[in-house]
Amino acid sequence: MMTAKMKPGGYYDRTYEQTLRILYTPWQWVALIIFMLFLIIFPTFASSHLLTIGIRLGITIITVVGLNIVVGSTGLLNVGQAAFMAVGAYCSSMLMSKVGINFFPALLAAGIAGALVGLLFGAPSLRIKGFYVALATLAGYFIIIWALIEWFGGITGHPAPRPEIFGFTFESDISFYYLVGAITLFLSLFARNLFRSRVGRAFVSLRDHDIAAEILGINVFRYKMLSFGVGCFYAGIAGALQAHFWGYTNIEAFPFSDSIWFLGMVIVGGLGSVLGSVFGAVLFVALDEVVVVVPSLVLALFPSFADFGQMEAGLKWLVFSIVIIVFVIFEPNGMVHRWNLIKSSFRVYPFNY
Amino acid sequence: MDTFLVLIVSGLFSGSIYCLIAVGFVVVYKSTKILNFSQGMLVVLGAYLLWSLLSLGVPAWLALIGGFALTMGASMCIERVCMRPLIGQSILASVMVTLSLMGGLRGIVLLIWGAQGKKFPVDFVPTGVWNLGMLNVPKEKAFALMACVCLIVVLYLFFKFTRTGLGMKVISEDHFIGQIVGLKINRAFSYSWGIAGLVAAVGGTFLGMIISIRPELEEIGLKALAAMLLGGLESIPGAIIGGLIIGLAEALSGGYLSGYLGSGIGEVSPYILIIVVLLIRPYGLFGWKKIERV
Repeated sequence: MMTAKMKPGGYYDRTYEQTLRILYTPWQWVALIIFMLFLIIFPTFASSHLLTIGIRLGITIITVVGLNIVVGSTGLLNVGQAAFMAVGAYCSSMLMSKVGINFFPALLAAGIAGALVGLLFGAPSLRIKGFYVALATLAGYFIIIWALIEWFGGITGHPAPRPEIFGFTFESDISFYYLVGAITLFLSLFARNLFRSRVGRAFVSLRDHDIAAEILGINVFRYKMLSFGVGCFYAGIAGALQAHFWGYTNIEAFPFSDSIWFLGMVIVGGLGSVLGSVFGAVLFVALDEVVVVVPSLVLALFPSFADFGQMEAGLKWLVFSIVIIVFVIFEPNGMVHRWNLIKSSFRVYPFNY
Repeated sequence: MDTFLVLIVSGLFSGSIYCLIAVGFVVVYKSTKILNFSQGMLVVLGAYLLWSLLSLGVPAWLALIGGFALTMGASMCIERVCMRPLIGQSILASVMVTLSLMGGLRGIVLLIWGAQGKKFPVDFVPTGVWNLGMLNVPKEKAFALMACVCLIVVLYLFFKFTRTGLGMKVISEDHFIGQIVGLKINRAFSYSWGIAGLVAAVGGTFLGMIISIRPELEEIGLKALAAMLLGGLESIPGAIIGGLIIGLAEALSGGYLSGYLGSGIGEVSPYILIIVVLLIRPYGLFGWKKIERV
């Protein structure tokens, strides 16, 4: 899916390790450090609304990166990501409020629970591929939600207290922001490294042709399961963080449409690319904010449109869908491809290539 | 025994709605190899269009024709604008586009008609109940079943005896061979989406008569995916049998198992069937098992 990325001039790869490095030039390091500093000082000047958006963005990035491992790199269409998030949310909130475990083991348990449930519904994918996997995960979504409602606490679920470690509670949104940010960074870096490891290459070969991959000696079932497990682990972590950010679990926070939008973020951002997932998540979270504002503007201009709530919901559905469709038709390689093109056009300026 | 019969009958009736939707899935899948997740939303759209025509004061017969034509037109427009650029693209692209079409149509429906349930102001078929011994058969549901059967027969004849239908069958067999013998693939795709729109409109009409129209009705479309999968993706008779089985499974599990497994088991049983079918027989009862070569 990634086309040849133009490398900065004057930097030659002499060893295999050099081709694999993420950052090439000193200026990329500088840019990265400036960006990190920005992320660190962000809460000092951000309003509480912006901070909430930041936390939401972090949680969305985690789940989209996880989905990108399954969809973008292994080519298994998972349309049930929201349900795996719900599993994580219910698991960690139950462990914390019923059993009384500390947040961090509970978070890990939430990820593992997500992974196990993901394996359960990923298991049919040994014999099937393409949209059959989409059907299996779609069915999985509804079965999981039903099971959570019937057996694991119902629609309103459980209280999810803020995390606490060594006497320090992440009570304020600022501290929670740092927690989510650290976990997002760690998991994104992990995914980035996974993509360039042996396992990641096995995933890509499965995506390109699973029978050919099997002939090359890749254990198809094992790697498909591994991919599902890792992707749903991410979803479980993201769901748990979301529950503990809000303070309670609610099944309505994980609607089926969210699964579609996560898939959309993966495609709009760029398949098989962590940076792409970040781009996609940023675009959609930003769009969500815009869509919420538009109805009040329209209402101020045309007071006759009184159906405020429906306009908000309807616009969100419509705008998100149109963005996804436009990207799939006109730029199937995603935003990250466009980004690379822009970067290389700067590098070779004033020439065309 | 009484409950059993009642459950069987109600299962068959709700199954006939699943049949109608599943046939729409199959017609599109047969010729374009695209799984159209938005079929359920097309059904809802058809019902809403018909409702609008009726509430504008159009006579019932004209509203029916107009509603069917509008839904067909909308469906063909979707094919032309969103699906045709994707010919030859990966499955991921087509699945993503139909999934987001589901969302987009839902957005349009919410923007135009709002979220409250709507009821048709007139009845197209006699309502009431036929009393057959111990069974009470609602007339509109019986008519839905009959319409389902009629539509299937018409579609069967269309694919068996008309030139266009035969051409579409060839194209569903192999796009390349279809082009060699001079068939127009684009036109066949357009027709298949048109037929899917027509089937959706018929389904929407009956759905609107039996229950009020709401945007959430698209979930019936998702359940009908189970019917399509169970019957085999390419087979119209399979979709019928699959739809009836799904309806029966839903009614029976809702009737007998809800005491043990919670009240939602009926709702979720089609999805459980999807998983079971995928594990045991992914190509369905009447589908073709594909042999893939590297």
